[in-house]
Amino acid sequence: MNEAAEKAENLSPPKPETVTQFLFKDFMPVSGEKKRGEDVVMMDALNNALIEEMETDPSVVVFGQDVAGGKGGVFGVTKQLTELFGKMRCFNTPLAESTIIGLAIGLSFSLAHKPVAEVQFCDYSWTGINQLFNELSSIYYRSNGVWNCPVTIRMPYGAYIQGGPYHSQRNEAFLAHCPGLKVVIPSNAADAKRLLKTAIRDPNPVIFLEHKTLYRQRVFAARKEPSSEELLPFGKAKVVAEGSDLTVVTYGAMVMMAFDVVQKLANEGIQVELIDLRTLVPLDEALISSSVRKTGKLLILQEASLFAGFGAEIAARVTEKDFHYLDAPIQRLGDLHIPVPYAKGLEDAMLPQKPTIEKALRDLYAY
Amino acid sequence: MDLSIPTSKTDKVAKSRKTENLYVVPSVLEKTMKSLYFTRFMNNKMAKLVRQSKGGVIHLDTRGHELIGILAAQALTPGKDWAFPYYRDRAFAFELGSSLEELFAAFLAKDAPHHSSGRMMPDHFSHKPLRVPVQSSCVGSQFLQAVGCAFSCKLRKTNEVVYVSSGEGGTSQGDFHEALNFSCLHQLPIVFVIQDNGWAISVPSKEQTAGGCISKIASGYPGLLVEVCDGTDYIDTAAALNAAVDKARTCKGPSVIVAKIPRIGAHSSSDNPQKYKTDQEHAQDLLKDPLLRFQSRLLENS
Repeated sequence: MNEAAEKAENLSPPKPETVTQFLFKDFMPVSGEKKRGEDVVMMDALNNALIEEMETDPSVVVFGQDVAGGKGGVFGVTKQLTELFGKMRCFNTPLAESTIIGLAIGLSFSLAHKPVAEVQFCDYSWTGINQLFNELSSIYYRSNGVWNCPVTIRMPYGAYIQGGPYHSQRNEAFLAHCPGLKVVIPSNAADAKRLLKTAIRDPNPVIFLEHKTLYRQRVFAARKEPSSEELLPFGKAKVVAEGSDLTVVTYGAMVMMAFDVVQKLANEGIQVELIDLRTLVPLDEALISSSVRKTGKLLILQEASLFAGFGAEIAARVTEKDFHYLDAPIQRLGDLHIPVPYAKGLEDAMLPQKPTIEKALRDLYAY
Repeated sequence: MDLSIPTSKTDKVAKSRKTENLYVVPSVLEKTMKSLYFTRFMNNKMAKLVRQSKGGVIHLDTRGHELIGILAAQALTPGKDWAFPYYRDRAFAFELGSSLEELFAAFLAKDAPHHSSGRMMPDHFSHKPLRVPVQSSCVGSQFLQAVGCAFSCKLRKTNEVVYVSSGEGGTSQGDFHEALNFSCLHQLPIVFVIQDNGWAISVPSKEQTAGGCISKIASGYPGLLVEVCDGTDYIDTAAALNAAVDKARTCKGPSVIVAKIPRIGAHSSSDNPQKYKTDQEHAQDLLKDPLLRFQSRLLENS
């Protein structure tokens, strides 16, 4: 016993310089042919991404409350999957989010399965959050890179649908704060398809947030469908509109809302650069930085509460790195830091709206 | 001191579990005796090391929990079956195949293979060749992960078995009940072993579990084999474990084994049981020491 203990005592402690190793397993998606098909709405683009990935990779399994059989998800994102791939690859779970996320972790340990789990509304992720924050997120790090969980968890999120306090939440700041989770928020059908395919192939836990108002939205969110071979790497934000007067950084459904306002201002000669982050983790700091250095003015637009929200992180980082390029204080626009009420008038009053976005941009322009 | 051989009732149970041949395999008994001593001495050595500032700052006392862990490991096929042992299941990890040196290295937070290489507190097991996924401090979180792993075994149509252990305190978590529900729903090849030492740190079972023992609640789940065994008794414990592993191996579904054992030491080196346990309770626990009981029975039965 003493001999074994002595041998162990003589081993080195872990080197301090290894402390950041193994937060994420290395991964870079490889795209094939890039071509565009017919117009597709986000819901169908996501459904097609799932079908293609299940066809390509027999280890992909889809599960959650209501995802299987004829129902195919409350928003239809998993429609036909059971019919096409059988009950062993697309199945319902009990109405228990800790089960859904715990199951995803356990299924992934053998690496024989790539779980794509659905939490019906992100508002209901809280009963599974121990498995998500305390367990899934840190398995690769805690095991010193020995165990990894190739898990994708899809969660519909977002307000503007009179969903009340429990069908409207925006949980991206909570998710982004937890080390070890990648956080994806697409704003349109083409990005949604390519990002979901990347998420499924990523060997790390990825949380995929889908805004409910975008599922069937045609004017902004419907796009020509990318091919089955095309993937988008995480951490690459998109310049949706180029401009030199001021920058607005946003993500999810706010991209659509900001786009209309930005176009209106462009007609008046106010050139706003609109950046769609696409993924919050990893964050494309380089693109934000280069845009701010060009325009000197930054508005961060988010649907969620400003208090300790994701925009605060962006503001802090821009202030730290690019303060000397700023011609105005960084501005943020978000909700009023209250639960989302049900009645339409109350909901409208607490969320960012096009007129408030327009005013924020005009004020910043005039500063 | 009650070191008598099992009562006729226990023998009858053992016989019904088809394990009467277990105690006549001398090599198994010898290995078990050695492992009981190895894990006891390891525990005592760690209790000294924690006071010597050599890298580890916490020690979990495993005395009383050795036999159930050793026999559970013996019932499995290492490297084929999957295991989610909780933090007081060090004897299980040892018997499954993790070396003394590995366990001491983890105890001292050293940069050694397995058990997280110093990133987790000691006894948070992680061993890929032995199919032990990295474990957590969060009591009860292992249940649903083990269930997912068992579901994987079923989907892959293997005859691998999944073992998951916990103290009785862990059964108060909602995850335990979600895990039983899903296991029964899909008849999963999983064995839940509840090492019931009667204390969740300082909270006794009567303040923890309705009815005083989780077996009563668990018995409501359809298709679940629920066995309460004397976790200090070789025959009773091995019989219950083998029945459960056989059931899982032959794809007949899940089992819960509640092994009644003493917690002879403190919860951890930062806990003082004298604040909540009487001297009499401690003395009774000492009498139930599985190491002494096993040794006495071997000697009595030559």
